[in-house]
Amino acid sequence: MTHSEELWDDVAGVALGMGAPGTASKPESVAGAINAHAAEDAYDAEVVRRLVLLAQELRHDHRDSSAEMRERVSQLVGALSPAVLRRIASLAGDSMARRDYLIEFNEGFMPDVVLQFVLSGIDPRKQKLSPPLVRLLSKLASQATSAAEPLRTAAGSGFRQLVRDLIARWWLVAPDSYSFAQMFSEQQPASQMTALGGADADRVVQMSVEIDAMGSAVWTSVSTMVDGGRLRDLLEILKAAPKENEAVRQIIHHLATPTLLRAALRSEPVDFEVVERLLEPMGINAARLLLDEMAESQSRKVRQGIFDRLSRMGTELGPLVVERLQDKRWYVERNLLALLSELEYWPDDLSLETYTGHVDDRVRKEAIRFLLKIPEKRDQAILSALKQTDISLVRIGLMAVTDYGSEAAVPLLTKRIAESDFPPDMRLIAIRLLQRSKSGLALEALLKLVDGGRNFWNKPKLASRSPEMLAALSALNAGWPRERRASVFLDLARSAKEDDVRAAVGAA
Amino acid sequence: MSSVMTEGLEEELGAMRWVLQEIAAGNTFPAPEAKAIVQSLYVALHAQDPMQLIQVPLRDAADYPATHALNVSLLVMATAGFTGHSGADVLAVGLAGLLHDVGAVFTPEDLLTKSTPLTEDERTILKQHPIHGARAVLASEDNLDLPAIAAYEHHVRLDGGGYPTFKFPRKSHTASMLIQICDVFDAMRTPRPYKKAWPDELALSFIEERAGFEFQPELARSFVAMMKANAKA
Repeated sequence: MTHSEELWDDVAGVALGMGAPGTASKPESVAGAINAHAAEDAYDAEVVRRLVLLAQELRHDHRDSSAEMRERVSQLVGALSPAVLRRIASLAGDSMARRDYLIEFNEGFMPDVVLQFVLSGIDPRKQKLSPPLVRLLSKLASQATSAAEPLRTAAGSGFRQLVRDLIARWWLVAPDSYSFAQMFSEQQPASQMTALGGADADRVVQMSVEIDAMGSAVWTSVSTMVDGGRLRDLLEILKAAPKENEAVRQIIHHLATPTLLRAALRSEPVDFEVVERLLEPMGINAARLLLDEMAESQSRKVRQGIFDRLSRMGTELGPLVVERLQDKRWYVERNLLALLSELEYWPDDLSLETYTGHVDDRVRKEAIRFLLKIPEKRDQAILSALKQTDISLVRIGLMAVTDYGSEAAVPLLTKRIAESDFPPDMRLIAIRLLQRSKSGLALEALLKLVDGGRNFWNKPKLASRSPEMLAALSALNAGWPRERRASVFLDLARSAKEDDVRAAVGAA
Repeated sequence: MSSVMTEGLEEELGAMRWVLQEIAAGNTFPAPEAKAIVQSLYVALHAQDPMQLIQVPLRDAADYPATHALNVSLLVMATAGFTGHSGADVLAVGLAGLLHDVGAVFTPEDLLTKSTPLTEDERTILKQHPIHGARAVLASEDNLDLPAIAAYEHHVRLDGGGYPTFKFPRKSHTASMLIQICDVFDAMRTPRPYKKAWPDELALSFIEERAGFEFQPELARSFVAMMKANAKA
């Protein structure tokens, strides 16, 4: 006795309610017993379970005896009354159990059996089976049973594939159009022509953009490109489309995830047009990721690119940036301060003074630049800048005094002017800035620059000509033209032999 | 020239009429039915071994869309089978062939059956059907990428002429180019309100003459060879 015969006996035994009845049990007798049995869920489930075991056995059995056994099952099912078949096929409404037996029956039994179970077990609320589809399935099932070869085998294969497709559709167990054709792929020699049956993802996306339409095929193609590491190619297609294209909008929205944004920022070289398309739908939600990448990127160009995008996000970003100041790496602090400055976000509880005293010049510079933007903190920033040893910081301070003026800066300006190692060009700037002040301190500093002491006749004389001396004369002439001590030097200048000295006091 | 199985394909023809009605009504895209039709046509092509071409004659002018869909599907599957493509490819291109003209259901019928030359405006409307077709197919819950592409590209000529014009310049898909040949051939050999049916031989000559600029030459040669081989069978 073959294993399938033993399993048939099990089916018969369950149906007839007795032990192994022997292979003599005719399908009609077994069907009669099932028809006569009172409705009982456990009984139905056991009959189906035994049939599933038989189907599993027959699935890989292609001997002649298996064909006879399949025929026996067809006779059994064909002899069941429609009402009993519906009851058994529905399995008391257990949808997943229906799916499981359909999968097994489809692979192990004849199509006529499968079709009867499909039609009897269908849940019309969720599973649609149109009349044309039923007719086509019936036709294939009939051909699979009674047509001559090779049509018979082709019909059987076609029927099974369509049922697989329905099972996949109804229970979402697997995709689709590929499986629709997949079973034939190993039966035929490989194609001589390329890619007749397969669509390339780029083409699908291009078409989607051209006709502004979406659908399952487009999503699949999008995933194919992304999973294949071709995000850039995909976005190149999308970039070429107008922004009002709905398909593009949907795809971009779908792509705008932290994972892909990070991938875009880490690609070489970074395409910021791509980054911007991803950022559009993400908005402020992308900020944390951008801040992370700005802190970690080794590329100055990338950091600058991220900085530019962050700086356009507005003050809403401010608290997130302040939070990041906990990171004490100097370049992180510098970039964050610069970003806060761009955003013009300065909460009261943010102590910028901490950063103007930072050990790193670059952080100090950024903090000073930031403070200069805040009117009430500007003097403090200027003083801080003018005190620096880093000349570039001092220059920032001088520029700030030029732009905004600062009486508070006068003492420091006079001090720096007096320093012998103060760069001449900056000393000149500082001298000119003193002209704006009306303070005695400024006057004294300027007088010191023009005072050359006494001559042989003990008369005041001008200091030796120098750019600083000329600038100081000019400043005195502009700011203190009638001041008693200044007038002495201004008069001397007006009568000087040198043209540039006279020019400094407007007497050339 | 070929064995005609008109009686044997009634279910497929009826199903295709239904498919087109569903698409025109904007109902859920009838992908299972379309696949079942192609599967059944594929089986029918196996009535003899090797694959034999069959065709559905047009009985009623109103039946042209469904009949044409079936015939193009059969022609492309027969050609793909003849050239040694896998069963998977044959079925895939068969489905694309079946659905290549579904966009025409959105074109006013009087335009499709007009017996006098179309005006420029009418031609513009007619030329929209590849776009309508691709949109309809894309709307399917199934991944019908190749059918959507073929619906969109089947009027684009090898030399770039035809319609629609691609924003992203590219060659049409091989399946689209094969479907184009079968589409033109079936349209020529079928009587329409505005023209008589061409004899198969004349239609085949037309395909051969335009190979290389209108039609992809290798595909055109394969198609003609398949037709001639079937004529001898």
